[in-house]
Amino acid sequence: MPDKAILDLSRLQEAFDDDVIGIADLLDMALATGRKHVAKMNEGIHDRAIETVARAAHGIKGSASNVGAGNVTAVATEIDRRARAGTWDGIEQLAHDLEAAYAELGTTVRAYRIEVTS
Amino acid sequence: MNRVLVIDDHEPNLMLYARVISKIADTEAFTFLSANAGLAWAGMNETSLLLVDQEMAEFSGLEFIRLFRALRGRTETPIIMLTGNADRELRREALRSGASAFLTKPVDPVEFLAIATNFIVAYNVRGEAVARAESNFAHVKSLTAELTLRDREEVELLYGVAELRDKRAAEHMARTALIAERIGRKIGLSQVELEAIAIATRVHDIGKLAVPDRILYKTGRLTPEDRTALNKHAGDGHAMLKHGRSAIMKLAAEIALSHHERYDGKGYPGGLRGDAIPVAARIVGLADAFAAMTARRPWREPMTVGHAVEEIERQSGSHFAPTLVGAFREAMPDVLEARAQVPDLQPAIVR
Repeated sequence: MPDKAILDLSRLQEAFDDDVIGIADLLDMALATGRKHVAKMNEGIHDRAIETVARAAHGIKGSASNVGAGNVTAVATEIDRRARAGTWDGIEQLAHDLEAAYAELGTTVRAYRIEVTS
Repeated sequence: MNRVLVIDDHEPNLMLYARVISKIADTEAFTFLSANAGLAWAGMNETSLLLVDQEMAEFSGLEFIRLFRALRGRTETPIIMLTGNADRELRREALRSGASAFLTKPVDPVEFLAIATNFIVAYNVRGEAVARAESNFAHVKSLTAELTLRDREEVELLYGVAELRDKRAAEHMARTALIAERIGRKIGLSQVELEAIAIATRVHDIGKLAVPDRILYKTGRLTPEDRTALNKHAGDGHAMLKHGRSAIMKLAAEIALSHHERYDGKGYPGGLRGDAIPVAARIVGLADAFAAMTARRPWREPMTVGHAVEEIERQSGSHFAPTLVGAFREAMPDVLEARAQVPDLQPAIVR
């Protein structure tokens, strides 16, 4: 079972019951969508567009929390909070942290798929 | 099949919500990443529940709710707003905009399922109750129409008898009925009351069928005995109509009996005074007087409308209730239009 700080599957298991493949498919989709939003956030950072950063972080926060991706949610929540407050302080570092959290989540999701399909 | 509309511009969220909704019996989720596409779908499809995200690329969830509520027949659809923002003011604004409930991400599948199910069930129960009420209303309306038709047939039967005896006298009753309806409208009677008066007044002088021809068609001056015999038509009309069971026939009987009562109590047959005279009879009494004054008789020319109005105003507070005279004056354009519907082409020979 995955590390709960990275991926807590309890909510998804309540939603999907025994459909572990369905859970794995949803997680793959969450990863793919998350990468798109991270790319958008990086564009916002590059363009110094704080609203773009806030919107991307908010979206990531919502969908990551829904799938139980705790670390991703925590970092995205902090970026969302700072961007909405209009501060760039630490945002670039947090964006790196977010990419790292996604990489960690990707590894966990791949391991989960191998586990449920083997 | 219950349809649940889900709008969220994050595909994993849509997938999760659709999965939970699929657990509700006989329910299907229709998911949209685009708020515009979802709104277009909502305009064409009945939905038992709307789930909408707040922060979306095209427009906000609050705006979506306002637009959704503005669609025809979507005022009662339950709406759940789903958002990662737990801000209290946003929650309140969502409720003010028409949201039924508010859920914060991460969504708890068990809680979400229970709330969604309850909303769908409540919506369906309400829909069934509305459908039942509409069906009952349509049934009652159809029964009422049928009863009104039967009542009208009874009145028309009697009117036909009166018409056979004297067409001009029957036309006077028809003219009076139309004028009474116009006065009644001016004093704010309901549509049902107006319709009843319009029908019932068509036989207000039916008692004259019992008045001997030698009195009814007398061209000379009436003796006191003649006058007494003629005045009996009010009571006789009441006697003819009082056994009718419908509300309209009872009203017709009341009007026939009391339309010659006067506001000052000097009328007949009861010598009733003021508010003791039934309101419909007061109205018909005034309409009857105006119709009679402006009609040609073998023994006199018709009064002009202006003179008739002056005469009625002169008798305000004595013969007629002052408030009714005021309403009559205000209703004059409608009264004249009603009077013109049954033109007085030839002199009536009846009194």
